[in-house]
Amino acid sequence: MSGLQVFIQQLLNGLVIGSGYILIATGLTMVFGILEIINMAQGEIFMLGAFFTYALINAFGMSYFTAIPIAVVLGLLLGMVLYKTTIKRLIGKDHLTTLLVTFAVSTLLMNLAQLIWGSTPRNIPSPLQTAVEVGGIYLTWQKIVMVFAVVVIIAVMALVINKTMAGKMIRACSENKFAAGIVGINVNKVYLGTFILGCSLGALAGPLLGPITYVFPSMGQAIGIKAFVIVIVGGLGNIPGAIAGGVVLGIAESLGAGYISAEWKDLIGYLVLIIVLMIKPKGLLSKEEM
Amino acid sequence: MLVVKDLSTYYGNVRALEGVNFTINDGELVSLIGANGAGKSTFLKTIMGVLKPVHGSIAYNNEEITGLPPHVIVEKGIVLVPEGRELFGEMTILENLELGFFKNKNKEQGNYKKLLAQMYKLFPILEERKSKKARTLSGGQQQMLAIARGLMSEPKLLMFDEPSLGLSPVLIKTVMDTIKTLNNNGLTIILVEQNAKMALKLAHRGYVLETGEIVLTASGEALLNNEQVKQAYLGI
Repeated sequence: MSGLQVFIQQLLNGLVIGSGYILIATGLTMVFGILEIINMAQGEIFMLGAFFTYALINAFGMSYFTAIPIAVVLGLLLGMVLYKTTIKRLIGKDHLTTLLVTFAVSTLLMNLAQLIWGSTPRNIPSPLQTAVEVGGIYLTWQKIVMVFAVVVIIAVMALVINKTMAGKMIRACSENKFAAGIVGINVNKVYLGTFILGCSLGALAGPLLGPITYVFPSMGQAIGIKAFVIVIVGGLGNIPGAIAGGVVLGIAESLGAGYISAEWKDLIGYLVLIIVLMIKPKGLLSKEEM
Repeated sequence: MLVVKDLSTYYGNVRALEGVNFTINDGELVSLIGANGAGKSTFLKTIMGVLKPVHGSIAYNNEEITGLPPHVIVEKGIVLVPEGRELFGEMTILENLELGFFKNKNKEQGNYKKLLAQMYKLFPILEERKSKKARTLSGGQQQMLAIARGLMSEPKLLMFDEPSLGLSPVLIKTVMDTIKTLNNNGLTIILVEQNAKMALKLAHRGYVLETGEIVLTASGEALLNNEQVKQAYLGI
């Protein structure tokens, strides 16, 4: 492999991981933008999305492609249960309370998964694990499909948010809840809708990343914190910021792992994020005048 | 149309409204005047369902609406043009109007187009700048957009909270003329104003609110000539 090939290979690997971060972080930042809650359990929703897929394939003999939508729907239903039992009561509370409560939910879900599936890493059998080679660069179909899926989802979301009435309602609520209420928007419904959408995005990352990384109960912990950092770096509530942050972190980690040491990958990722925050404290895509 | 009985609203333990009685009939323009912090905005927000009263009742066309959430109140035909405009600044003027139409009973595209044309006729600047973000408008233009957004739902009762605040005298006149015209066309209006003279001149009847309580009520003209009102609110 030439130096350029190695570089491109690492860049693409970073993009793959970054696209997974994007799904999880976009869900997280949307929820913050509307509900003003940092959901520390977002990583566990991702983890459960992966385990649901694993279980559907292994226990019910489903194909990978049938299991994905069902796992997402299960993630959505889980989001609804979480909203009705817990999240609803956190709206308007201070950040310390919301962080502690959602952290408790995160711990609960992780231990529940541990109880059901044990801590041995599992593999999601995906038919997309065959590799393709273009000009000395290797990628599995899994990685290619994943990046494309994320691009399509982001494009659809951008369309929905900018063009549809539901999107306008979401934007109205994120900008001014009082005004949204007095024009007749049911703000509580928008809260619920946004939260389950955020959970669905997190859950979808499970079956997409799962075949690349293995599936285990604590897999959501590190990634949940990373998503949280991406959201901060991108600017709280800022979706394009979360997308940019996801790509930056994914690539920084991958280049760090490739050129320095795989063991240092997390450190290098966080270092890049700290530097970004030092230069642009209000987030990657913040405008200077704000 | 709207009958408010013995209404009290608190912010925590702080009394904002106490035992307020208020009535407005179909087609009336009623002004509510009072000093800063007298509870005028609280009164409108309580009717709107943004604030929950501790006791008392609000009846709209003989139907109890006390404590219903804002989106249900809007459905019934009560709309607030809030203090400080409260527009969606990052959204376009057209999107703001579209959101105003959101709870209109007649959802047909024809009705939407018709209302939009009416708003553009009333405030031509809104058509000119329809694809611009609302925050790029001047204060007066924002007030026009706030009024237009309120009218898009075709309300039966329109409530204005300090519509003259921060506007130049020329613009204040435009806004007040608009309010008068809307009322002449049959819309029932509650007008909350610190500018008591202007509000009372316009109104059929008026209420004076002091530290959360209604202390006076009479026709607009009678209040303008009332010694107490003259001294406290008209600066005469």
